[in-house]
Amino acid sequence: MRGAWWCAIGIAIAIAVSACGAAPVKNTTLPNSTRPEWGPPQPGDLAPDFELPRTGANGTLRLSSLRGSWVLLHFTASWCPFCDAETGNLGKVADRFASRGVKVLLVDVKEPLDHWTAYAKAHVAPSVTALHDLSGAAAKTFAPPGAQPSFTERADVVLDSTLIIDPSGVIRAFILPDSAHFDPTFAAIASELDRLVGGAGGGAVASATATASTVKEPVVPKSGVVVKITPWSAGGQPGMRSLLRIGLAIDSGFHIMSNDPSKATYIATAVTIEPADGLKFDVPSFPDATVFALGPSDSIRTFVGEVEVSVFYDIAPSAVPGVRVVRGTVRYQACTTGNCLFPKTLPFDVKIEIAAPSPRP
Amino acid sequence: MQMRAVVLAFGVVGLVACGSASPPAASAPIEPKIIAVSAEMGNPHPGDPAPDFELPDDKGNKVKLSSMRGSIVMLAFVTSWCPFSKAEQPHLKALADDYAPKGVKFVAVNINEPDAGYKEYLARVALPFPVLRDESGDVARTFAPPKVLLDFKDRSRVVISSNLVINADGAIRLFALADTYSFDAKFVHVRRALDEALAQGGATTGSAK
Repeated sequence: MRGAWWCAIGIAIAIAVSACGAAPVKNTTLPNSTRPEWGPPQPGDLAPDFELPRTGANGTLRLSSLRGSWVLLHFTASWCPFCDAETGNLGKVADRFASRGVKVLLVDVKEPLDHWTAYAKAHVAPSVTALHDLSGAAAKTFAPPGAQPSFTERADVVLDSTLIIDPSGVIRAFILPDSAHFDPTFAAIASELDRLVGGAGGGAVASATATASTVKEPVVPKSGVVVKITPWSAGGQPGMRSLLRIGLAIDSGFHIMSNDPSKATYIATAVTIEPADGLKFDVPSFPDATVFALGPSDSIRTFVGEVEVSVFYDIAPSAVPGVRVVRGTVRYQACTTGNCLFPKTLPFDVKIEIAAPSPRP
Repeated sequence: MQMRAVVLAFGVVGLVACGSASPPAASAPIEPKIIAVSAEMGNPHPGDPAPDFELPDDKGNKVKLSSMRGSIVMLAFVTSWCPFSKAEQPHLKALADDYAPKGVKFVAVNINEPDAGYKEYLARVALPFPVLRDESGDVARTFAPPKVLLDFKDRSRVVISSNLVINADGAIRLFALADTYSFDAKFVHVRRALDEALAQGGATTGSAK
């Protein structure tokens, strides 16, 4: 009898230990993620299943039929200004991850079928699977009960939100729209997909379309500023994953080399971040390059206009709350079509606020 | 039977231990936030005179913003279809019920909607102040700060669900764009600005430029 008791304890401990070990993939927690206290579904939960009619194609699609693939799921409505600004960019994300087997789904919430069909035809790329949730019933199952408590129409809660779902059907990221840090190109989500899915890193550059003829030759930069650096991070709580964004505004008429220029002799744009107490920074993730043709078989990969470098970081569970001033540098060489300026390394610093952790409910 | 209970008990203990070992989750109720328009976002911003306009209400009576000079004004931009506007509407009534008796004038501008949408907004919650109709969205456009939400092609949409507190002299005191993640449906920030404005007699202070 006593032997049986000990056996039971041993089994119980074994079960408990194996349960502890069963989370090899780290969920994404950004400042605009859903919060655990809002209730399910949350990262780590199985995504609610649905079967919805395809738009512009025959038949239906069941979410669970995509098990085995990573899925990017985005909810939209044509009248929602944030959604509308993002929809056209979803195709670029789908193209970038297509070779890694990521399926991109776009679910329209509660619009008349003919209206949505016409909108989708004009705005949704063929690489995106468009679906129609006429009643909003599927959208509702994704709305965590505590999110947007002031919304009585619960299907509206998930509008413009984005989920990453892993091949076993588990939610790994659930990001809500954040007007204060609006990300219409899905830069943060794409960086996270890179981390989670792995495989070919970096942005695909083949689809960039700019040509040298679109660049106007400037004479001298007016202010002496060629690249303006604007770092930003919302911070977070201990144990969270957060994002540092470094905006680079490149003066009109100039380009800087991308992080991966086509020749070793070109000076690649590089971002360094000094170590900071309680913060662990990932390798910076750069946007897609703009390709300029130099000749029939020669081209350079550059950044022009305003681009954003993303650096994800983990805030240690033991991190001491307070404000950290994180220092970093951006190294670049700015050129016009005819001339290059000296390479520069500009320092920046950015305040990252670590908030006090709050206890579990 | 007894053994099963033991297995179960230890299983539960084990799982609880797992839970407490993971990083602490955020659990405080989300703090309502706004996007406060600042000078870096372009004009108009606090300190600037509010762009003047004259628009009709549902009975065709024209109301001019500048005719309210001398009073603190709370100006709300709304639509019938925006979920944030919908969520705000009952609280907008409560706000007016609290502050109109203190002398604050209220006016709402419905942006760029067909008849049906405008009427739906009017019918949903009866508001005790004029809801004006900006059918083309042109008035809303004059308020949209040029350097925010650059990806919105129709600039009238930038100010949907935004709220302004305007001083007695017509200068903007607070210009609050909707923060969609930490949404302030109950006007916590507007109430704070109205309290301050009332305490200062509606005057534009040096700090507001």
